[in-house]
Amino acid sequence: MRERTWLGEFELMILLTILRLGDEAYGVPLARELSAIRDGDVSVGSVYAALDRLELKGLIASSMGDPSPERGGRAKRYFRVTKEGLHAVRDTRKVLTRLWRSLPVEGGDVA
Amino acid sequence: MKRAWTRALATWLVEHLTFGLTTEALAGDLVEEMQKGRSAGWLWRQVLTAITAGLLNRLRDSAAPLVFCVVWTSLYPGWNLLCRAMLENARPENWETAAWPWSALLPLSYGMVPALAFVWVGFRVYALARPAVVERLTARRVLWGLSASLNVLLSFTVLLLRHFKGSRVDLGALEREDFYSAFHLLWISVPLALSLLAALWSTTMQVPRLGRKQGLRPPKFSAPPARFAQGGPIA
Repeated sequence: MRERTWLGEFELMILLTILRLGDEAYGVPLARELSAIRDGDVSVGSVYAALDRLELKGLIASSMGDPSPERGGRAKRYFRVTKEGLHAVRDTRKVLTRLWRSLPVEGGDVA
Repeated sequence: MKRAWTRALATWLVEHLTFGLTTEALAGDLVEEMQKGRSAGWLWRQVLTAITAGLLNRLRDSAAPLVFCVVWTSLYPGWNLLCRAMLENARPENWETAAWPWSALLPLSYGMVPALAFVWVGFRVYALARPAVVERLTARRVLWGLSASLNVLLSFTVLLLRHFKGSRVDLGALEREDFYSAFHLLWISVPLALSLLAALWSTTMQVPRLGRKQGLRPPKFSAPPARFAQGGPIA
């Protein structure tokens, strides 16, 4: 039986943003997209720290692109969500939806 | 000139102090953003956040093994007493009259055998308590871990013996009873905890594998972003 992984708030946001960005999911666009959606600054460093954790959990996978001069000869690292990552997103979504629906007045006070 | 120097220092710090697996990509991202006109203040905020987040990640990874080692080591006096009864029962009478060097090694076995067994049983208990760890274990990693723990145990025990040589410990006159003294049980806990920590760190250290090496193109995804807008793969 598949072991369930519960995601933290920031981890869930990152997984969804990777899915949203598709082929262009690397550090800077991820931080920029999250900043825009959350309406507040998100640092590239904290995004990478979360990406490290997610990769160690096997929820995302990464691959290196080509090194480029404008990056000082350093390569980009692209991320994609793994099958396990998709399962984790679905499970977390199910639980959150159930919790929202279980509120006395659906979404009432906290809407 | 100053800007180039600042950028070089910032990327060096990111590459050497973030402890992460993404240091090169992170440094590249920062350089790319600076090329697009970000300020030095922005750069230093990113560097500080990256270093702090990396440290917190590392602490979080180390917390479980560290706590386990401290708790497990506190059980050693009980384990040592248990082993004492077993070793005495298993001891053939002629061991007492064995020739040198066996006669000299016998007392040491009262200290080393329980200690080694304790570390290795601790390692097994930790692995059993965390199924995710067992999945990553290979025979090679286990051998490497047990070898590391043995080396650490011996090295730190020798260091302790050297430290107490002459004052509290007489190496030439070690006896079985010395291994059950409160002094021994107190001080041996340091090499024991470090030895177990070495075994756990060296075998459970998580290193993800990169899908591709540098120079290859980024991966192509089967599902384009447009699909996700309709709730595609996560619906």
